[in-house]
Amino acid sequence: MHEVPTWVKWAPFAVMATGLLIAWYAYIKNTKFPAAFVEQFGFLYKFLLNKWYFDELYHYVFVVPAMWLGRVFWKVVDQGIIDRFGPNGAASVVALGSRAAAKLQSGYLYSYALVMLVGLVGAISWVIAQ
Amino acid sequence: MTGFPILSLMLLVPLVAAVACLVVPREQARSVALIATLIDFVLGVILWANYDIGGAQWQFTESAALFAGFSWKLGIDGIALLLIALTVFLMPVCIGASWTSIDKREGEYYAAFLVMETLMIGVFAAQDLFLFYIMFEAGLIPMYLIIGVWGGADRIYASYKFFLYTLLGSVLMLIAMFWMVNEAGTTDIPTLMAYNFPVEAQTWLWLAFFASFAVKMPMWPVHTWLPDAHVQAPTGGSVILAGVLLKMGGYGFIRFSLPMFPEASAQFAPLVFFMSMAAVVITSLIALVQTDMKKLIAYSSVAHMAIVTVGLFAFNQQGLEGSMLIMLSHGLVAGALFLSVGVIYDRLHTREIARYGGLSINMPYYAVFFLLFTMASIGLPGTSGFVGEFLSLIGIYQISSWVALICTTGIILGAAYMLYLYRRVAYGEQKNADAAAMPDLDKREWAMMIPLAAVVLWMGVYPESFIAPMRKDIAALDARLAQAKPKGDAQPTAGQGTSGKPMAAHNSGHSAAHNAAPEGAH
Repeated sequence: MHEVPTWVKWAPFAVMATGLLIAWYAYIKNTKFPAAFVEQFGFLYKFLLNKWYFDELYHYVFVVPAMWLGRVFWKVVDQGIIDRFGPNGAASVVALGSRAAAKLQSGYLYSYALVMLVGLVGAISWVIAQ
Repeated sequence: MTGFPILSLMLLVPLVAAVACLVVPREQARSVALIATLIDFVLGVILWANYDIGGAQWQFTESAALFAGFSWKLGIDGIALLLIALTVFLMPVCIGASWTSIDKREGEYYAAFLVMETLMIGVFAAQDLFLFYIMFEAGLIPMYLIIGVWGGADRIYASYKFFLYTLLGSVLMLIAMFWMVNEAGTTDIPTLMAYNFPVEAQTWLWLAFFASFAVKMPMWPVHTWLPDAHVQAPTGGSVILAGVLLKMGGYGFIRFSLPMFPEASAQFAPLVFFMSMAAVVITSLIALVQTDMKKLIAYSSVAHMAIVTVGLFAFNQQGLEGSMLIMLSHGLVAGALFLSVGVIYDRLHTREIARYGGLSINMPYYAVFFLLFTMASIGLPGTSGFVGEFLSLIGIYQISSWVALICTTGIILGAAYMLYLYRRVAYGEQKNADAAAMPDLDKREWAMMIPLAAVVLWMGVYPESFIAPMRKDIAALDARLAQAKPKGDAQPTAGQGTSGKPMAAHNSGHSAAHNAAPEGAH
């Protein structure tokens, strides 16, 4: 702290004193001054009134992308990928599989006989091939 | 107190009451349930009062051989004590939350809750591997029924999703347990915790346990059952789900994964860190855009649990203690937040945030409690949320500053989504006439809010009460993990202060990790 030049230490006081002087002038000495200033430097006034537009800047830099990312992670990643291929996918594969399996149970004797025949042929060919 | 089977009694009381709930007239079921849970709470207080801090590692042990090497073995250490205390504390609140909102099949509803209480205490008290497994898995059934029978409009989908997810992971854990018992020749958990499994086998065992605990926790990307389950569950179900069931995953890591497979834990720590970092950022952002209050809090739970997992895998005392504290705190705070949602849901029957607004005008007391729990969820100093998150993040910082950096964004995002929620619900204009006409808290709701608020503040102001019982057990776990501890990326140097004294002097009061500073000075 000891290496800081003396003028730096005085700087805050100078700024404060300047502000005090301007405030005294604008609000006590010459109360028409603020209105005249707004008239003259409308742009600067609006810029300062809106806090340098920092709120708007932050809105577009942080809030909008954060909300957008949140929606993407929610709708696309969570619901579109994890749920779709995870639990919902597994459930629909089971349903699909059971529908396919149910088709095999046709109830017709000749279908079952055909399957038995195919199996028998397969088994015999396997034995012969050994 | 030695010799008195207080743990068995704590398991028996809710079970007997559950049977009673099924036979008494339906209007009286809730009274039976409340009395039983209060008795268990008193027993829990007695348990804590008689717990000898700094005494034997396993206390209140009971053992009775059953069949085929399977035994009824119970016993608790400080970690289990705290989680049992959380369970018995939250149960009467859950019964209170269901007092007027459940209007069909009351007997079965309260019986399911009481069975669940038995199973939850059983999970934390079990000292037999298979007893633990049975309690851990059976807990699914009452929760499945609570969501599926007494839940909201989309309850069937939510309950099946919950069941499918959780069961899939657990089957792998069961297979791993068979292998472990075969290898070690015992089902005794304390013995297994000290058993050194072959390092190459640990990898597979760790993954099998991880499948179960990661789903329970829940960790990203296997978390999608949680928002659905929470949204559809009745208020009491949400409170117990967030309050205790999620803690079983963390308890599993502390009791099984870390001490039984230390080398594998170190090996997979980067995976856990990756999943946790993803969870913190992704689920926090998702929470920000939710329009359903319960879904918002559910997603915030995933983010908080991610900080628990990084703390656990930090392999040091602060990280582990911090994780335990987050679990306790989150149990209280998330439970309290779901309760707060339940209070206004009972009045307006909607969870849409946009249907509320300006509640601080017509429900000022409610707004105060809701604000306290919101702040505790964010982790404001003085509330329970702060202590745990701070310790966990200190713990992980010693291992990886990057992980700590990313996980800390969760606190900022947490503030964003919780304050945004609070602002939309409690502040602003009273734009909905029906929401503006809602009465403030009634006596029953006061009776539930006060104890929760008191403990949240207690844990925030004097966390020592909650750290003391588990300190020795965490230290034992830390010592067990020392053989596998990964090297941190922090490189502390002794440095010279302006006064010429070495910086290391400041660290003398801290844990072993800090005392390692001189050897890290390169």
